[in-house]
Amino acid sequence: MQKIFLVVSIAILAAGFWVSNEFKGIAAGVAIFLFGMLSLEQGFKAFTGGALERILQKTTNSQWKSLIFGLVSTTLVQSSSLVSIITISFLSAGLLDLAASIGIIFGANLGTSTGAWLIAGFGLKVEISEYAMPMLAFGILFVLQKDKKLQHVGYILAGLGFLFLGIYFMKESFESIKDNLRLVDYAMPGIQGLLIYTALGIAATVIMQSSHATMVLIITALSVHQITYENALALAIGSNIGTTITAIIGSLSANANGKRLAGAHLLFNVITGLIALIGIRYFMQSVDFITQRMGFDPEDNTLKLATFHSLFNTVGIVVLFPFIGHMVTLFQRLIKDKRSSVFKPQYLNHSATEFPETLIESVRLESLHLYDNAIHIILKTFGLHRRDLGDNDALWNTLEKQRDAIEYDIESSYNKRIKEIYSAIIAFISQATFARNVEKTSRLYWLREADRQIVEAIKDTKHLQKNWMRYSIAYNVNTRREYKKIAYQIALLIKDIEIFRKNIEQDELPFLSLDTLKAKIEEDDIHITRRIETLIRENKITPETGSSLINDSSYMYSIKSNLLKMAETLFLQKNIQAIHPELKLSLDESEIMNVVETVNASKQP
Amino acid sequence: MKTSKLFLKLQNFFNPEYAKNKSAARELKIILKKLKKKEGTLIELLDQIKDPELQKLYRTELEIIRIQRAKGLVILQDIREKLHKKALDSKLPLSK
Repeated sequence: MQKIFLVVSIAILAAGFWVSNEFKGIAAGVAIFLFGMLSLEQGFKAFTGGALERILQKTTNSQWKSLIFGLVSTTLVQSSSLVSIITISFLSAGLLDLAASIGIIFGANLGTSTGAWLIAGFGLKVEISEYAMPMLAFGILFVLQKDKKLQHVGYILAGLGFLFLGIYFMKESFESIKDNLRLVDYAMPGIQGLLIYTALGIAATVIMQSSHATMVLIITALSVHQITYENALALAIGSNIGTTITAIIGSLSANANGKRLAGAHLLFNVITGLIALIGIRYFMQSVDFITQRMGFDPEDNTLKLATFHSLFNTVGIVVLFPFIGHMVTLFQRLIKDKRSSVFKPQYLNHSATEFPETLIESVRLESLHLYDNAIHIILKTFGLHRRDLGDNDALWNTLEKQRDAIEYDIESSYNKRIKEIYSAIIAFISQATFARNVEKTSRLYWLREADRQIVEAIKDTKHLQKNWMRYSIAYNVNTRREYKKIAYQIALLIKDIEIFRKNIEQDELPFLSLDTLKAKIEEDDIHITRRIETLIRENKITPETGSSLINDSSYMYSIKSNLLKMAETLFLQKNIQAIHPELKLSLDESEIMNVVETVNASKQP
Repeated sequence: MKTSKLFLKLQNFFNPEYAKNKSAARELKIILKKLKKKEGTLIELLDQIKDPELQKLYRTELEIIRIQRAKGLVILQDIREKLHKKALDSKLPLSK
């Protein structure tokens, strides 16, 4: 489909170049303008350095704030596409909810109309190429510098320069086309013209994937009277609908929420377009009234077009803003979440790789998914289930009652529940392009470590399983009990980790409270070693069984340590800034051992 | 903006290390306060509990908190000394 589209575009452009010299100028103007947009986007994307993302997270807790964020950010970066992509990315990673995202898109729609004001009010009034040349020269000079910040400033300057140069080319070409061809002769009055030019506006924006470029084309053509004012209004309505193509394409690689947002964006722009088409006469009268009150030249149709663009988008927001909640419900019904298998990655969407914050959050969520699957495997190995973790006595009774050891196929479960997700996380992390950002790179490093610790815990469980199958149903009651105790202690630690995970928000010092669990692991290790030694000394178990128990107790220690280290990283990652001051107060291994020894010694008389 | 606030902002701007230490001391004091509260609660609990297993568990937790507090107090003292030295060097008001 894309190839056919490309071939058709090339054919149209080639035919245009063949027929008209001026067409070359217009097409080159549009191409330079779009190149400028790309450069500007690249500059802003890198230059924001997470600032836009941080503001996005803090200022979108109400729909009004979301609307204002969309409006202000789009006005500043002059790209609704960039704002849409950030929004879809944050929504996919679960950092934004659908209602807030819809609010941002509403605001971005209004923000994009400021572009029309800039072009109509500034771009056409001054000798724009005078500004473009120095911007390009300085911009490229900065782009060639080693300093990243200067490079980003360079991209923004060069982007603006190319935008201005593109506008200049389009304006000049429309001026010269006047002598050979009068496009205005093809003007269509009435409803027919309104509909055909709206369709043309949609088509032009879908092809260029930029409503900014379409608006520039419309305004420059209008400024040299190549199109009528009425037809220009219809083209502007069309471009407003066509601009949703960026969000639709962006949502293709997003999850259900991303698709819902693209749907809401399309619905908003179509309804706004319909309101503008139906009430076009009233809008024109209102525009005349507003421009007259603002003291604009009544003959300046470009400023009137910019006013119209802002006006109908504002009306759209006023009409549809109260229905955001209904839109959320509607799209949740229309676009269902895929019933995702627990065996497949659930959070690693391509759209989340656009920004460091969303990439890290997606990896964290997927790692939690990996952890949940791993816990299932570990518990199943000992014939347990998550529901058995409720009461300690009941848990011990469940283990005691087991008369047969049913061999759980860890290998097959690992391949089904772990391997694919783990590989997908590693592949996803490898797409991270923020290698120079030390803080974010180290967060990803720790998440990868947590995943490795989860996998290690499963591997140790597999080693332990062999003797568990043999000794957990042994005739020797002491051997049997020690193996049941190993399973019991692993299950208890999983329970403690689950409680910690659940109460993490209420725990005032979450990181420091993990030191108690570390001490418990050390103490359990000391106790089992002492018990095994006593059992061998008193001939209650054979030395061979004792050596197996010692080996398996080390596997238990390793499983518990890995799970605890994983919990430290995985559950506290989200609040990494908040726990930072606690890190220095945490106890190291030797301090933990000292505590355990002190407490044990104080117990003895 | 009030003059004192402006002065503080300027002070932070010209002495980023001083500002960083001040903020670290502030954060540490909050943590130490929470630890002290936790310590008090555990001491009360230990008096009420008779189960030896549970008693041992709380004693371990209490011992851990005491070491964490001791570590925190040493770090806080160190930061205070740095702040004191910096304040004397540049004649800045001492941190409270």
